[in-house]
Amino acid sequence: MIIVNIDKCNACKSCELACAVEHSVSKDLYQAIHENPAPQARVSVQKGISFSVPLQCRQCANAPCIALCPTDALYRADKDSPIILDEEKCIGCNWCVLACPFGVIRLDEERRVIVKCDQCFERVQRGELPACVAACPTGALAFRVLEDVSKERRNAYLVEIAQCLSGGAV
Amino acid sequence: MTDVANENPQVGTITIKKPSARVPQVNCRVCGIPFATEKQVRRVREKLHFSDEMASTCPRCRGVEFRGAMEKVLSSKE
Repeated sequence: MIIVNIDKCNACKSCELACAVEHSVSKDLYQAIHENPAPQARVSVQKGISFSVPLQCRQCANAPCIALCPTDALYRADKDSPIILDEEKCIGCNWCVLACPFGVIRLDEERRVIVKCDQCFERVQRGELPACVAACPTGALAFRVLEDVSKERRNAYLVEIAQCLSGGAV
Repeated sequence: MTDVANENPQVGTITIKKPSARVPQVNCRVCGIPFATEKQVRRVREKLHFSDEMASTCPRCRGVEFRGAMEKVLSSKE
C-alpha cells in the first residue's frame, strides 16, 4: 500500500504529474501534454492549514465502490490486490463516486469512465514502484507491505515504552 | 410469432423517461450544491449503511472533510 508521510510533503504535485503521465497513452511527459483527451491524475494534493497531503484511493478492505458497481467494472484480482477498474465495463454511472467515503473517485466527463488510483498495478507487477512514489522528491510517499508498516510501528512503540520506563536512558 | 407476442406484450419493451423530466435532487450539506438524486442518496444510505451526514455530503466535500479530520487528529497529537 501507499504510505504518506505528511511531514515530508511540500505539495510540489510531482505525484499528480507522474500519475497523469503514467496513465497517458504515450507515457511520455512531452507527448502526454498534447493528448486528447488529456490524461488525468489519480492522486490529488490537498492543501490544509498546517500541512498538505496527497489523497488517492485508500483501497478499502470492504470497498463500497465494488459493492455498488452494477457492471462489476471494479474488482480485485485477489485478496491483496488493489481495486482495479475494467474500463471496458465501466458505464460512468457515478455509483462508485457516491459510494467512496474519501471522495477520491472522479468521473471523467469526456470519456464517461471513472478515474481512480490502481496503485500502478502494471508497474508493480514489473517490479517497479508506483509512479507517484517513484516521482516524490522528498520521500513523502512510500510503497510498503501493510504487515511491515505495522511491525515497524509496534517496534517504535516498544522503544517509546522502554524509554519511558528507563527515564529516557535508552 | 404474433401469438407469442400477444401472450406477454411487456417482453422486450422498455420505458424511456422524458429527457426533460426533473427528479428531486439532494444538496450537499457542506457546499449546498446539488450532487445526486434523492433516490441515489437513499440507495447509498440503505445499501452501505452510511450515516445521514455522510450520505448527504458530496464526494468533493468528503475529501475536504477527510483532510480536515486528519488535520484535527495531527494537531491534537502535537
